[in-house]
Amino acid sequence: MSGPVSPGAAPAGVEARIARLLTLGTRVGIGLLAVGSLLLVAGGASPLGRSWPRLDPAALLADLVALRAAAWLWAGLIVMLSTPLLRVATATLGFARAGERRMAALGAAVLLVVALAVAAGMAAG
Amino acid sequence: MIVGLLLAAGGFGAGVFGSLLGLGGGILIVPLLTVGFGLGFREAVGVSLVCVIVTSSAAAGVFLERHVANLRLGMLLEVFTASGALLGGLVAFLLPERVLAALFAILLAYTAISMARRGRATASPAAPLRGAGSSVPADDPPDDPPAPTLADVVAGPGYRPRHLVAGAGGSLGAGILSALLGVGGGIVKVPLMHLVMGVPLKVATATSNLMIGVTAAASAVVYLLRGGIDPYVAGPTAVGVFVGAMAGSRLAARIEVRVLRLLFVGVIALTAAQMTLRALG
Repeated sequence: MSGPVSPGAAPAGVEARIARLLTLGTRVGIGLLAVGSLLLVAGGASPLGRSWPRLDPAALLADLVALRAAAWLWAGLIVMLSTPLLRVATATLGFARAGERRMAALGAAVLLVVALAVAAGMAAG
Repeated sequence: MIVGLLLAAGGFGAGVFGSLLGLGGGILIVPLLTVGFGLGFREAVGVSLVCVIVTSSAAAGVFLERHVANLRLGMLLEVFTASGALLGGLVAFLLPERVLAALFAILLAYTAISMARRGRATASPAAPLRGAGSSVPADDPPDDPPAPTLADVVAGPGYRPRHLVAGAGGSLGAGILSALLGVGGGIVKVPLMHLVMGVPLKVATATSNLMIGVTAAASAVVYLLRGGIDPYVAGPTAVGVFVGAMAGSRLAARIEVRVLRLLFVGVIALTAAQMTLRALG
């Protein structure tokens, strides 16, 4: 059974938590992309008409330390793409803790679809 | 070096325009990258999806802080937009780029017409909240009130969304559109929620914005893992879009948006013509 329903309101604190998460995720993601873009521009190479390196998670940390533009850009992209998904996970957890099973199930369904997207992308990539 | 700065400047322009006109920016970025920088259509879509996530995440936090977005309704419809985005992300790699360009030209034409006619449309009244004005007398409450329906669960202050099935179907379509064309899909979701589901326009706009990030992320993941996102183009463009969107939100009160909208309709109609030429080869 679902918990008490107050029209429009999410469980206490959930919206504020999500708002903070979105703000932080956006700032960190944009910060990483900005550093990567500066490194790219400073390197003097044109971003167009060249092949780009595939994402290599194993080498990401070392490449970040080595100030490679692509690594900072990949890190920024990963943070940006993860931010909305963490938002769904946070909301799902918040609804589950409040005993709102129906809303928690909806959030879990969204995460399942994203997991399928990851699997489909990996299978096709 | 100059191209990187030009990409950031182009993103900045798209961010300012998008913010002033209430668009996610994708509708501007794909033409900017394809027509302006000569990128392939699919490559431009991958970059655009990243930019759409940036603008959505930045704005959605503010909408939630101000309690304008309906998180519950957003999560319900996200199941369908994300499913559509997954489907669209897979189909996008099967369709010829000319077909995608033709679809984008149609979307641009639709957007131009919608913006030119904006303000004339009126929403159907929202369904009353359960219990408000119902036939059950207030002094004779039922002993065992019925369990809340899904519409009750996603209701907001003063409104209760109607036509949930139509909303779900439309959201699926919006997700497919987003993944195929690199747009947020607000051009579909806002009228769907407002005119069909009876959600107040302000809430529909904020909730659509909230949903865009997840929708775009579901398809962007497919693009990313298939090597369809160029980080060298996405980085400068996304940073430009973010700064532009912030500048646009500050300029909004000082600029005559009606004039800007007319200018935008002209630009977008011209872009639709260019996209049509591209589609025709």
